[in-house]
Formats: sequence, C-alpha cells, structure tokens
Amino acid sequence: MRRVVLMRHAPTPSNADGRVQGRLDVPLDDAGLARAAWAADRVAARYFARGWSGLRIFSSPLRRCVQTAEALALVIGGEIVVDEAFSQRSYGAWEGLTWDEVRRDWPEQWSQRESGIDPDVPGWDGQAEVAERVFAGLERIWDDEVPAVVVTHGSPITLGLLAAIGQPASSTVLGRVPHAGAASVQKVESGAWHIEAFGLGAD
Amino acid sequence: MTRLFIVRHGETEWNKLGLLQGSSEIPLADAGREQARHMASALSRLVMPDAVLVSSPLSRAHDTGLALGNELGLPVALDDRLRERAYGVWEGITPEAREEGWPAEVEAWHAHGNPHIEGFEVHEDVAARMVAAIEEWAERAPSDLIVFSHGSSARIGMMGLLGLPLTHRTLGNLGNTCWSRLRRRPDDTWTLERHNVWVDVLYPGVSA
Repeated sequence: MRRVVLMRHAPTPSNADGRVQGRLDVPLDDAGLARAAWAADRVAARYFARGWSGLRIFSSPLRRCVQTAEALALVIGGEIVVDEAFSQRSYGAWEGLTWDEVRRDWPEQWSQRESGIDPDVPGWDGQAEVAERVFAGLERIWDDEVPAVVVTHGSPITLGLLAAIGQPASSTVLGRVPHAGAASVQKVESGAWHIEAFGLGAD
Repeated sequence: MTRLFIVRHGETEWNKLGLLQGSSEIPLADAGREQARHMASALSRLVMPDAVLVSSPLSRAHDTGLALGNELGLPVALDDRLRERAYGVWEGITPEAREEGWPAEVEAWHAHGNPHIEGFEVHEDVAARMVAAIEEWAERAPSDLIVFSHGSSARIGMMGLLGLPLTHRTLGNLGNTCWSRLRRRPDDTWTLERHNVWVDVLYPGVSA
C-alpha cells in the first residue's frame, strides 16, 4: 500500500550541544553525515526493499535536511525537491541558546511549551500554523500519487501528523521522532489518515 | 514515570492465511517463535531490569511474552482483559467468505464502524477493558510495563489510552512481534513515542 515516509534530519553539532536551531541553517558535520548514511540504509531496507521507482524526496530547505535527503538518494535514487512546506518553525528569541539556558532564563515560557501550548517568545512560529502548513504539504503529496519521502524536522513531523489524525496542535498524544529516525503515514479508503509507524530509530 | 511497551504476538498459521483469530486459540507458528526470539533479544536490552511483564492468556501472546521473560529471568503474569477482540462468526473464515456472507457488515467494518454480527466485541468494550487493565498494571509497575497482546486489542487499547476517537483508524495495527512505546505523563495522560517498531531494521539498541 502507498505511504508517505517522514524522516527527521541527522543530528548537527548544535543538536549535540543541546542548542536550539529552528531556522538557523546549521549543516551536518562528518558524524551527522555518517548518521544520515546509516539511517538511509535502514529506511531503504524497511520501506523500499521491493524496489520502488519514481521516488520523490521532498526536503526542507535547511541544509541539515537536504544533506540527509542526499544520503537517502545515494541509496535508493530519486529526485530531491526542496519544499518550503516542510521547513522548520522559527523558535524566535530562543534560537542559538542551549536548552539549559532556555530552562534557566525563560522558565515560564519553558513550562508553557512543556504543557503543549505556544510559549510567549518573540518571533515564535505558532504551532497551529506549522501543523496546517505541513499537513497541507502531505495532502498535496498524496494527491500526486507518487512514492514519497519527506525529510524534515522534529516539530513539523509531530505537528503535521497531529493535524493528519484530527488532533489539535496543542495535543501531547504524539512524542518526537529521534534524529535520523522515521515515521510513515497512509491515507485510507475512508479519507482518514493513519499512522503506520512512528519514532523509528536508534534507541 | 512509567514506560509502556505493548508488543503484538508472533506469526501464526492463521496470520499467514489472513484469517481472523479473535478469541480462537491458535498457537505460534515456527516462524512466529523465531520472531519472538529476535524481539526478546532486542527488547531485553531496552527495558529496565525491574520491568513488569503481563500477557493475554491466549498462547500466541503468552509464548511471545515468555521469550522475553526467559531472556530477562522475569515471570509473565496473565490478565484476561488483554485478550484479542472476539470476532464471533468471522473467526477462522476466509476474507472471501466474509465478503460473500456479510457484504454490508464488511463495508461498515472497513469504514471503522462496528459490524453487527453475532459475537463481535465492539470497539468501546475492547477499549474499556484494555485501558482498565493497562492503567492498573501501570500503577503497580515501578518502571517499565511490558504488555503482550494482539493486533486489534493492542491498537484499540492504545487509542483508548491516548483518548483518540475509536471510529477512525488513526493508528495502524502492529506487525507480528512489533511494539509501541508510550510514556505516562505527570498528569496521567499518555504520549505515543514509538509505534510499530520493527526489530530487524531501524534497529533499536544501536548506539547513535
């Protein structure tokens, strides 16, 4: 059955340092590239062993995703299409801070985020808009009827899938896909989306 | 905070033939026992040493659970509320026979409703007993709770724990010996962190 596979980018040096990236365009280093190659092999083995053709790999414009998409294309082929629908949300004033600094200096906003609501942070992209943007991208891809992988970021995967299953963006029913991990979704006969797999990855 | 791993049993002959098992007692096939060994080898490295293991009493689930229990040196408790949904008169008949005998009910079932056939256990009843059992065992488990159950009851149970509507198939069924991981939040609601993890690829336990 047809599906859309969603992959989260491999970790960057900023991820390793526990630093908020958002729209900051931090590229993968050698360790990240190795991780992307590792993940590409596993995604290929799980989903593409039967030799799909005409695959399209949609990627967030940020380099950490494009590099992860390139690693996947090396294994299974396919055309990479950069698509703004799958970009990362802005974390506004938090970008460049470590999560420890965020917890220390923005305690109230940190608690807001932990409870599932948008924190009151200048420049923050609201989660409902992110959910809607990503879900619209998924619907568009499904209508194209081509096998597809979307390489994107942690928040867009969780928020896009919440929208797909009809849950509000503030819901805490879905966790987060690990770096270089994957999820897959299908639109079934009734027109509803279902989550076939979520949070695949190494841990 | 409790982590719940919910694991589907290994493959049976009826799984291979595409027959609904429900409350029927169908043992693991040799391939299913092999799958259970692989699952046990992977999960034993992921769960806490004081994990609590509990299973549906149907042998395909219990034997899958024992594979992990033996690996960890832990007992596997049984709880009848974790059994598979009863499919009534649909158990053990081919998909073609279902279509032929009950076309309207099959259609309702594919649209995720409850078909009106004799002996079919409705979504709401399955969710209620699965949620009650899992919440009760989660209270008792000091760390990880590992539940061994079935395709339909595991899926409906997770949807119940998460508060998702039962009329849409928002989660797909687990594959044989695949598992999901949920975490109980401080406010006692649940978050789905992993779903349908497959042991052979995207390999759990490999260091990042």
